[in-house]
Amino acid sequence: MTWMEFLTQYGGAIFGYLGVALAVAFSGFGSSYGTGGTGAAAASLIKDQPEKFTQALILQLLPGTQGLYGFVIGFMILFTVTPDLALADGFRLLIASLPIALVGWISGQQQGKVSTAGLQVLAKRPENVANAIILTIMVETYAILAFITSILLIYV
Amino acid sequence: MAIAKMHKIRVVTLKKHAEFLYSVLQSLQVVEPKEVSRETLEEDENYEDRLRDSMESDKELVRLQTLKSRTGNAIKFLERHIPAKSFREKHGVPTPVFTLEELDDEVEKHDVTGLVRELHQIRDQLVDIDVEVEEQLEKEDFLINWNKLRLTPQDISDFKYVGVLAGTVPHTADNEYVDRLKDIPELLVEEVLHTDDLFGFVGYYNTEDQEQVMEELQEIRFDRLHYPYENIPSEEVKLTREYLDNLRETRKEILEELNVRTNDMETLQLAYEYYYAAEQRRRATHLAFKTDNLHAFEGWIEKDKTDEMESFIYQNIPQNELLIEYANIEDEEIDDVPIKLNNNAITAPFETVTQMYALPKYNEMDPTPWVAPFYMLFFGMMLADLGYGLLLWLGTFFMLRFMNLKDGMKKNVKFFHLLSYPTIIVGLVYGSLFGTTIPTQIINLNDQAVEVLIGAMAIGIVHLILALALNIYVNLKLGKPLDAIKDGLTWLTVLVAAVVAALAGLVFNNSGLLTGALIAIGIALIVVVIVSTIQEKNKFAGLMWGVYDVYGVSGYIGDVVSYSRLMALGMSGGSIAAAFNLLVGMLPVWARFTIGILLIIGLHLFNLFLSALSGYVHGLRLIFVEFFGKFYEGGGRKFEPLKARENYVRIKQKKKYI
Repeated sequence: MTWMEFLTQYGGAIFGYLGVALAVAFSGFGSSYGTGGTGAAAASLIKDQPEKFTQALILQLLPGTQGLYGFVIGFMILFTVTPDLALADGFRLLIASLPIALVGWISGQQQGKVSTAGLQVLAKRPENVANAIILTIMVETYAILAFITSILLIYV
Repeated sequence: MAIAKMHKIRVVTLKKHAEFLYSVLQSLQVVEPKEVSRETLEEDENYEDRLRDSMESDKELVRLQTLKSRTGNAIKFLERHIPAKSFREKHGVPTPVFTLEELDDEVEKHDVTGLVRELHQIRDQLVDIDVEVEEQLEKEDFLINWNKLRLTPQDISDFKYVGVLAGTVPHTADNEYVDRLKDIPELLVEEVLHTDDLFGFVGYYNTEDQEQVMEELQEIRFDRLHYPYENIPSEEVKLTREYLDNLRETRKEILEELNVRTNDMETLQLAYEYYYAAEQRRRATHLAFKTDNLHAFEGWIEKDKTDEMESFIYQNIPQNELLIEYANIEDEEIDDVPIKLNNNAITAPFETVTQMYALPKYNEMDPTPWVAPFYMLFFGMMLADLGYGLLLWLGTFFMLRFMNLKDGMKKNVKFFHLLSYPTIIVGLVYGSLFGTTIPTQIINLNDQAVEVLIGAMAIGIVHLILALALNIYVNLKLGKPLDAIKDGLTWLTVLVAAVVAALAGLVFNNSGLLTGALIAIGIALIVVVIVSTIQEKNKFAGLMWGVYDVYGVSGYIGDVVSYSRLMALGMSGGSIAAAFNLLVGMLPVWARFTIGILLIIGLHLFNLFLSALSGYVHGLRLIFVEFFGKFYEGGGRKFEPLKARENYVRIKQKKKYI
């Protein structure tokens, strides 16, 4: 079997699965970085003001959604991949994973930074924590757009 | 729209009635006291300072404040030491209801100051015991270290021929100091202590060699033992332990005594409410204008509540000893008027959303009635699952029905209860039950992703059109017709024409309609520039601002796309649920019906929490950024009537006084 033959026969599935891995892994990187940073900062806030746990948790969870979007895209691709998938379709699925993988990776980190800064609002002016949440959500918009684009690339 | 109409109220009465009057107002909770307006007040820049001074120099007010905070501290202290209330006791029992008089009587019955003082003493006593225990533990450690010492330094200080000393030298890794110690020929060393960093010993020497020995010891950093106790360590440690046991026993007894003082807790809580209410009333009197016989105060009152208030007051104070005046609100006072929102049962819970952004100014409108339906729709589309909706419904229903919630909490629970309905409806339409597909499905999210996406943006366009219509309304209400045209009407035209153009171009293929719509957009944008030029004094700057405003078109594209999250979040929650189902479904049968059940419940609760959180915050964003950004400014101050704390009791007004 030549290299080309191998690629034509199994390439579709290989690239499809690669897409699953990329979507889940990279958006997971972004979210774990974001929730990790905010979580550490939240812990140091809670040691002084334990009553703010719930709101701190909300701020920590905000950058966590990118990982979930990636997980969903991963699952959607996984169900589309069959062992005899055509090479072109495999490529399409791989490319479909890229928006959420890349944007999820970066926006998760950046949203984490905004979230961490938002903890300062929670510490000093808890009545304005909604504003901090809105600022954080601004970053997520781009992950959502990437998520939609990935979905469209899979199904359309 | 639904901002409560306010009146300025001025009451002049005889001094003897003043205290009673404040009690009535406090239990009615309808008046926010304000400083009495005097001709000179405007010029009086130091008013705030003088007000503070007059409050600080009021001995009675200071006394009430002190009592309040001391009682508060006692409550916090006692709370830690009495058994925690069970869930039922905490949430199932209604808050006791008192009138202010009953509260006064109840507090009078008890010696609250005595109780508070006693609790503070007990607290201090416990702190002292803890400090003492800490010290004794250190002493115990020290004594255990020196356990081998069989003489106390006092015993040995007056030998005639033999000098004895006890102390330590550093113990290092290379044993340098210890070796040099042992090498001192005039000194006989007996080891009594050996730790990681210290070497303790008793040394014997001939008194004649004292000077030399001391000199050499100094070189190896000898530290003489400081031993202030009478007995040798092995005996002293026994005494210390006995003493420690005693201390702990005392502590335990104190805690046991505290443990049964649940009744005192109730007394303290009532007292706290009482002091808080009295302090608030006292505070209000500082805003009033007082002479030897008369007492005049001003405040804000809700227009609808004036009759009720008057009837209560006149029942108890003769008409000829009291004067009540109302004044309408002047234009220049509009920024000072406190804001109270009045909405019906369904829209009221959404006031929290409005408040989170900003309360409206008195001459603006309350956007809450418009927020409610859209927020419900948004949340429903983003959670979008019949199962999750039912869970939310059940949970909030249970809380509302069987639990005793404080007012703020109740509003929040009601908020989520209302949100469960659209979640159920959208869940039915999407045919999603905990991520599985059910036959009620009308729209299949996976197959019809694009349709739902377009639908989401269409909802967004409707939302934006509404926002612009409200912009026109608000600007006209504020008497700014040019702004209504520039910021409202033109963009409304652009948006509607853009929709028409898109339909004409893509759906109907009607080139005439398309051209018409494009021309309308062009005219609207030119109007933006023209109005902007008219408004600015500097015509060239106005022109430039106008051109800059036209650039705002790009913002509208972003706004519409932003609504795509309605589809994306609805899809992500459902897909995650489906993925969880699939994963648990892969378990072998025995595991599926044992651990799998727990697992699937946990996973779905997790997903419900996350999806609801997403729906909540992204709903807020669409309201705050896309919707409020178009027409709503806000910046009003919350109406804060003279009232009680109502943390532990509820205050009701007596139907008739005397």
